[in-house]
Amino acid sequence: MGAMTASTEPAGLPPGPLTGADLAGMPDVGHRYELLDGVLVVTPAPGRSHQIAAFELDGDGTYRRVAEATGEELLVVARPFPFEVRPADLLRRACPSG
Amino acid sequence: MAHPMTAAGGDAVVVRPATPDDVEPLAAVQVRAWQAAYPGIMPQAFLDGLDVGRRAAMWRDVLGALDVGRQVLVAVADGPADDPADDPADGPAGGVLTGFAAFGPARDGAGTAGLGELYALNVDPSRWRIGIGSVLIGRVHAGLRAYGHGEAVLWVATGNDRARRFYERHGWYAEPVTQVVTDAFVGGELAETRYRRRLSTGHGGGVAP
Repeated sequence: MGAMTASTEPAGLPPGPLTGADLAGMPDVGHRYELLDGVLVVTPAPGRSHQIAAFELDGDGTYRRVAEATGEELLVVARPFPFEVRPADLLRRACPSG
Repeated sequence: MAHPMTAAGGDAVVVRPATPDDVEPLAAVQVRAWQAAYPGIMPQAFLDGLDVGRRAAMWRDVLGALDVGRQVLVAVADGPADDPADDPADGPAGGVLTGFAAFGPARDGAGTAGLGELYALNVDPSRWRIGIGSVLIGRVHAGLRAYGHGEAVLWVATGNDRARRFYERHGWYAEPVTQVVTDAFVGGELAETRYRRRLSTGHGGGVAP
């Protein structure tokens, strides 16, 4: 039953202070993970407004050159950037009207 | 199960869920239907530039992301053996994909329980007026009902009189609700009118499915 104990913990984390191995096991979904004295601190990925502001403040102009190269129809943001493709949006694109 | 039905043209029509092999002929039907139905409604340059490969990719994305309650149906006709339209590119089993329909929960109705939507229904223009659309829409009504929708809406291009008459024959009625879609996927601006239909038993109206 020892192995079953972990299933009661969120994300399979062990009881007690966390280690570098736990940090390395975090899923790569865009969050920032920091281990501070055995405490795991999770910061969600910045959102659209933050990344657009970063774009505008960009010092060496890299983002702007990428955006210009890809044309006006595309929004260029730096990763990590959380997004979700929803079936309803795909359908709206494929068949805008009946 | 797919039961063959006979459209007015005499060919057996089978309606079944779309598979990934259907996306190319489905996209080709959509492009031909748009090019036949939308002159004067969508910009001609946009219609002339419609690309079957690009639209097939959109449908591949749709089929890969379908969630519970959303369906894409295709109508497949068994033409005569020497039917010149029976091209191998039209899909497996020798059938010719002649139309499709997509339906599910209302796209703008988040939280509106029981409201379905007919997202699209297109028939190959070379096979208009022989009953394929009627077979398809009957299956859509039944499918929406099966998923518990008591009512459904659809958006039709306001200037598409042929489609509006088709929906009206099948029990749909125009609501005083319009919208203008503005994006690259309609070539600019597209004025649409919303239609509604009751699906509950006994409220069929028009040609009962």
